[in-house]
Amino acid sequence: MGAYILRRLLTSLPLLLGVTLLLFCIMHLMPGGPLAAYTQNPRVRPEDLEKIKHIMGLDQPLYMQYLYWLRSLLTGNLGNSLFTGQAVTEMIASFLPNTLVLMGTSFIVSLAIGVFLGVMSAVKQYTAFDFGVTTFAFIGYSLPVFWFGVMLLLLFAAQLKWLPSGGVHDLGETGLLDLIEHLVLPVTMLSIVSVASWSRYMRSSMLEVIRQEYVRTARAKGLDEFRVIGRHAFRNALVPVVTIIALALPGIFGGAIMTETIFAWPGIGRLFFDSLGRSDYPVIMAILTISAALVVVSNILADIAYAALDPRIRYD
Amino acid sequence: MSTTPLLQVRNLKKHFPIHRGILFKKQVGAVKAVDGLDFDVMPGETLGLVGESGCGKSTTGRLILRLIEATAGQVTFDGQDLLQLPADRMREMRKQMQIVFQNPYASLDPRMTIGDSIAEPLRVHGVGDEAAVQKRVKELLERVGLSPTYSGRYPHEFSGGQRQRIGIARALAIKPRFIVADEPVSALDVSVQAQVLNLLDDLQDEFGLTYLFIAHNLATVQHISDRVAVMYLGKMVELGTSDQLYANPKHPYTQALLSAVPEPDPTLKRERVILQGDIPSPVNPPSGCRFHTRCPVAVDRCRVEDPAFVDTGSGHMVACHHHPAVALPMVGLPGSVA
Amino acid sequence: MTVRSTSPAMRRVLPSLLSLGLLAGCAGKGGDQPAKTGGAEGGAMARTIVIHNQQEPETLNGAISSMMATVDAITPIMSALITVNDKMEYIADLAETVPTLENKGVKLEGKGMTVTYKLRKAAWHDGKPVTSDDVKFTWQVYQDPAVKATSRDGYDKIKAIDTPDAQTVVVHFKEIYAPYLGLFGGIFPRHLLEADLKKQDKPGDSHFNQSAWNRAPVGSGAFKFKEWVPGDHITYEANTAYYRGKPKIDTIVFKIIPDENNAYTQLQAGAIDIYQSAALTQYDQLKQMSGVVIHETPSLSYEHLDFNLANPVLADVKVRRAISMAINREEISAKIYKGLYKAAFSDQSPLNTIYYEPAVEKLSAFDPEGAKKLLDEAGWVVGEDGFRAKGGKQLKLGIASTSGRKPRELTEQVMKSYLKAVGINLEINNVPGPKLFGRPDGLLYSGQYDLGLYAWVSNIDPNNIFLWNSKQHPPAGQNYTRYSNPEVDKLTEAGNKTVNTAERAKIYKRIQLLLAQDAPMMPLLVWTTLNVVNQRIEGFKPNPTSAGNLWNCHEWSIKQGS
Repeated sequence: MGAYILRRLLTSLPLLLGVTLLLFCIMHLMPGGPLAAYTQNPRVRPEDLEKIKHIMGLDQPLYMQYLYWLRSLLTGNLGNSLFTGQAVTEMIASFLPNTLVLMGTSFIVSLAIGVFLGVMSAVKQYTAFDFGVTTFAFIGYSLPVFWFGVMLLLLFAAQLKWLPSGGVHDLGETGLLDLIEHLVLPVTMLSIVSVASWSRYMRSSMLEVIRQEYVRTARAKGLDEFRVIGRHAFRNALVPVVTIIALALPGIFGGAIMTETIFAWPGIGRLFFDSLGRSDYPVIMAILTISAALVVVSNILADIAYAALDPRIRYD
Repeated sequence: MSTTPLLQVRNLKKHFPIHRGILFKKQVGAVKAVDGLDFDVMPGETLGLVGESGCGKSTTGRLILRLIEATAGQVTFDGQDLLQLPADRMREMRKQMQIVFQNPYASLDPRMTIGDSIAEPLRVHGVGDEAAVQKRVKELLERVGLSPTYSGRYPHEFSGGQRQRIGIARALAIKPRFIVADEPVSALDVSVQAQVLNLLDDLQDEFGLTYLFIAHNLATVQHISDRVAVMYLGKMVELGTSDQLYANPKHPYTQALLSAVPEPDPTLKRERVILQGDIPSPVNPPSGCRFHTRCPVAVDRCRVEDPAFVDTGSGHMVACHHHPAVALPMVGLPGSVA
Repeated sequence: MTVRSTSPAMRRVLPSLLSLGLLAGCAGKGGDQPAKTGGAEGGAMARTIVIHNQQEPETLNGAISSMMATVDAITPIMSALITVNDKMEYIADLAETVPTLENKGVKLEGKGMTVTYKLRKAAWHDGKPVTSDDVKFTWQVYQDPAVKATSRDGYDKIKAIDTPDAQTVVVHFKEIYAPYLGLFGGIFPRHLLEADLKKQDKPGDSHFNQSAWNRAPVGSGAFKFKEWVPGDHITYEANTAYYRGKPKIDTIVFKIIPDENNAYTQLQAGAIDIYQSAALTQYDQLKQMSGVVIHETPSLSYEHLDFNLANPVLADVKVRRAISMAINREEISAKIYKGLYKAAFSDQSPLNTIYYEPAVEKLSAFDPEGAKKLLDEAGWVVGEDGFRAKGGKQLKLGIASTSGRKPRELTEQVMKSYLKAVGINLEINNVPGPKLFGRPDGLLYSGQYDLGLYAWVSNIDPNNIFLWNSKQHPPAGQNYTRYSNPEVDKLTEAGNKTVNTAERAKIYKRIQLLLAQDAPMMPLLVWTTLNVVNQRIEGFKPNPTSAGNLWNCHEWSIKQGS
């Protein structure tokens, strides 16, 4: 197993390198570029622009810029933002905790609700409950998320004034209760779609297992229904779902641009969006590269989880 | 053999409803998988239950064990109507009745070691402490011809025959009196089939077990069964001792099934009856005798009147209008092939 | 306090009902928590004003940023020698007076000039005095090629700076530089930044660009920097030793709210006091919101239509004037911009009363019949399809704008029908912003357009040489219309060499008249900025210039009893 993981990690290095090169090229194909912000400002004269270009290193040939970037990657500091002057690692470190709190909470909440609804809906297949969950899932799926977020905001924060409208904390507050209050709306917005999809995954996986003979066997053994579902059906139905869970993990790092924007949540999604808007190459590259690495790692995690959960699977 | 049946099945029905509509569901029909069965199983006896796929024989097995709930009828086991038992009492009853499934692989939880699978019913029913449980698991493995050291392994590490032995060990764990064997060998290689059948036979003698042995061909049940019942589209068409049934099949359907059994002795030539068409849909079964659409000797009466299931003497039951008046001609019928 | 009274109390109680039991354990604690909207509920936070901004500044170093958010965020902290008030007048900030020819603060010396500033007694937030040497250092910052300065314009015209004493700055210009008052908008502390300036992280990249000071600046303004929570807010504390008087409030919070619905909600909940540049789409709802005051301020930005004079059809002034006369600005304003954006007629802001020439308004009024006559004169004859043609070629022009901006797209539709009415076939080809404005291949820069619809920002200083001088055709400058008129060339150059305000005004008024006649560009509408302010705030005076709305934050106060 150890050798397998090591082999997977090693083989993914060239893959990641290729990904960074691809990302770098695509990023430079975007119209605008870092200097676009200045070109609309009549006070920035062409000669000033040349100096800025030089200081930002944008006058270097593209392959050199890539090599410089690669060098900074290998030394572990990911370079400095072209605009804020900060170290990119520092910027990510200051936005990441908020994103982890938001995405982590919504991940756990939506997974818990989604799995519960999925299991119940499979167990009670074709009952009113099942149709209710199915209807909810289709609404959740097809809901325009941006609109839904704005509606949540306008209804619960503006109209009813039950919940704060944005940010991580009220000014001067740091408490947990305050944080939870601020989490409710963005987590609801994020979870509505994922609850819908988790419940569908779980339902179909569960339905497949529930029809298996060993579940019937469990019943025949005289197990009570809770044990039959919990011990035999659920544990086996979880195997394919765990893969999807693992593959969804990198999303926790990436944040959610729309939610973070609507609820003024200072997270990685907004950092990425702002950086994209002004073509802050080092920040964009850092976030994309970390995401790519996380995708690779979580794929490996999914495989490990698979082997851990299903005795039939062995990597040698 | 005692004269009091261990299991009495009366008017057992299972209709799976068919619904239409999304918001306002209404039932538009039903799949009559089992449509009124009456039979007894005597203690220590093996009753073979035979029929084509979809005839309702597996459903019958599951209905008896209440793995699915019946639509109507009574299943009396040892004097108690199982279908009326509350869930907790039913769980208690399961100590006495177990099932061995057709697909031994699918019937074992892939994430449990076989030791745990066998031990689980022991633990659930609180049969002794953990040491006793482990001891019993080892005994059972040995008894079904497997090494006790296998108990830590997972189902996928075994061959089909071995898995079926595990399934049998699991069923035997809590010393049941009655076992539904639902096509226990039909997924196995022919060479392994006999071994498993012999094992079941030995176990029956050793533990005084009563079997309901479900199979889709008559050859399998012939050797192991004391009596054999033949089902067609949710109803029983013939029931008799093995000898009665094999030597003197009275229902045209039984005859057709028998003619399809490979004969070990090629000198004994039997006319083969090939049935026309497919089994009709159990959603909309034919009127009258359900078999009339495929019956080589059907007459008008068969199309309108459902024949009663009657004793033709010495417990040989049959549901056919031709009986007992009609001796069945076997040659020259429409659909028969020389 | 009517605006704020409901929300905190409600918010203590109800979340527990809502949040799916998450709060079940904690709900009981809610009641005795202090109110916390940061507003006026007594205690240490009593005098806090929360101002909204849609964007987060990239840095708090004004020399290396081109964002308006940066200007807003540094105004409380930094001192300028001279600043601009809400009436677009220069006023003294760190300098004691505004130096002019009249008060002998400016002296012309042959080709060059000298400007003398007397500094007030002021201190940095760390207690060190602000001296003339800091002003000199600020010039050195802009002169350093390793600094990522966004505009060196003007600083590079300075020959030397003398500091005869700590309070006197004498700036020697190599040449006459009329917009001299726009320089030294933020003075940097030499004692804190000189080492960073000299250090280079890599050759040609000064550490000044990455200095820690940029994210926690020590300035000399009315407020001290306290805290920057990235992506969320920046907090400032009153500088009690401020040289123009102690601020009347204790704290300013600069809150970053990217979404306009959220800003609206927070304003309504009292979580922000000032909603800057509110969305026009919210105008009707904002008018109905109680407890707030809407400031409708003309902006220095204005929509306009560029004519590409390199196109032979548009080289004819009659065609350009005809197009200008065929378009009804008032109707566009009323139908598309709720009447908020007002008709524009000049490249100078009507607010800039010294320089604005009102006579242009009559010269380019809406007159479709006049437009038809001009097109007839130019030889464009109406054909059977209703469109004009000359020499077998239809009078067909393309219009380019930034795609995805609905009001502009609507404006184009309306224009299409106006122009159709006089026989011109307008074809709409919009592109994304970078494709329109980019260099070197943007449509404007490369001249691949007929008509361009976008916005320009005018300035308190009337200098417009980069727009109209024939030496400023791309790639040299931003004369995207490729306009050239020898008289305008002379006037734009003379304007930059004239320090006397009255003489300068004559020059720029003349330019406006010439532009109205030549019509290289049609001014359409002056933008309006909506700043919505909680009525408890006093002293908020929106400032459309680059001084920004926080220009007088030391004068802001909170109404008694609120």
